[in-house]
Amino acid sequence: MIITAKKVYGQKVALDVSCLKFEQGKIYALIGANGSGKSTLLKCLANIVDFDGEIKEPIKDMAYMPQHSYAFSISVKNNILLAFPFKERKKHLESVDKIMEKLELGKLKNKNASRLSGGETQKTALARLMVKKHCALLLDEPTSAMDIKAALKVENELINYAKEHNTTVIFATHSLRQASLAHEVIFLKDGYVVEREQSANILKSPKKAETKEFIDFF
Amino acid sequence: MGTTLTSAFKLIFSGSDMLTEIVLTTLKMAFSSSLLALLLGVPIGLLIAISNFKGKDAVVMLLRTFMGFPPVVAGIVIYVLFSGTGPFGKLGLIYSVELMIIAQVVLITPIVAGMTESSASAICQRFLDTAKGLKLGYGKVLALTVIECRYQLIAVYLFAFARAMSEVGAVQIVGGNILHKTRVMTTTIALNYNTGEFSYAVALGVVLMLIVVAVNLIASLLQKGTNK
Repeated sequence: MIITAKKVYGQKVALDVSCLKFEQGKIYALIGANGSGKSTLLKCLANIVDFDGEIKEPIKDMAYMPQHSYAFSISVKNNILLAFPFKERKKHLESVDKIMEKLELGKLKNKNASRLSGGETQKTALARLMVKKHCALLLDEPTSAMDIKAALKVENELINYAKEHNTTVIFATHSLRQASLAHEVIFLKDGYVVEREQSANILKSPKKAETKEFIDFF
Repeated sequence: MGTTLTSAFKLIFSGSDMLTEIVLTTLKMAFSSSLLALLLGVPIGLLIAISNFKGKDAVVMLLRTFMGFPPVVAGIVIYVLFSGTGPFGKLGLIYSVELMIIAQVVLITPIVAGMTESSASAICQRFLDTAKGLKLGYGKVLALTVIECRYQLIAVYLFAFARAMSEVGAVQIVGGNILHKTRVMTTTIALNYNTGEFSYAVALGVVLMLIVVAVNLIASLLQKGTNK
């Protein structure tokens, strides 16, 4: 999947990237300050917003989780079942149970999802995506509301999911520890890609001064 | 004032046949028209709220204009359409409760649609990205929007019912305020005011208020029930 995209809000360039390539089965972390274009890039990839440009060799089956993920006012189990067509719900009850167990949502199975904490809501939103195979997952700060223990567990499950299904995972994060789990890290600033490197290289020895400045801040 | 109120309460507890008939006709008209307006207006409002199309702003503006449609004008238009010489005159609906219901539906549907659109638009913003990200179909999004907006929809229904109960202009014109046929509480109150029978008007006013309070109580219980 190769994206060339320009997105402008009013007079502000939110995103301006050219021929940004994502390979199948790899994990990518998007880092950068607030307003750097991480969320806009994910929205463009997910076709949530209109933009000038194109996506070449698009991945057909992509699922997107927004920054403020939403859990509908139905049970956690029914939220996860939304991933399937209504008529096929019964066939997938077992896989729903499995993903709830993996993400430690079992006890919340019948709880109304509108009463979940921020971290539990994010887990439910992730379970809704991970309950079935997708060729790509686009995740906007997927663990931002979780405690560290829950975040580590979810990260582990996401990596296993990506390996099992050869899924491309592109996620935005403010955690350099989390970014280090990706194959590649893309640093964005003011809508532009400043640097893109293998995670170990970019986090230990960034080439660009802007990237170094950002990473040193942590 | 005291004498009027005493006479009014005496009338309520006397079990007057005419009073019962007027209250029942009013309830029939108000429940039927508010339910029909809800069935028509809610889907229109929800569809406008969750859709993005060219001219959406113009449609919303038109809808909001119709929300303020003057009842007397609606009454006259419907009267002309359904009177003996009108295009629907052959239906013989003029001066009937059915035509009063039609008039109420014409008046209330834009209000229901507009209020639904307004509240659903605000709530939809919170989950439309999630729905798009999951590639949920139109039907699922619509059903989820109803679930997420359930409190607002109950409030919309209450407003529609209260409007149907209290409207006087259009029902007076198309119903004709005929005794034992199309006489409802509001038209009776207006008539009794004109003839100086204040105790009857006050008695009907009290019953009108009690009905609205009862419907509000039921709606509150429903809201509490859906919150469990």
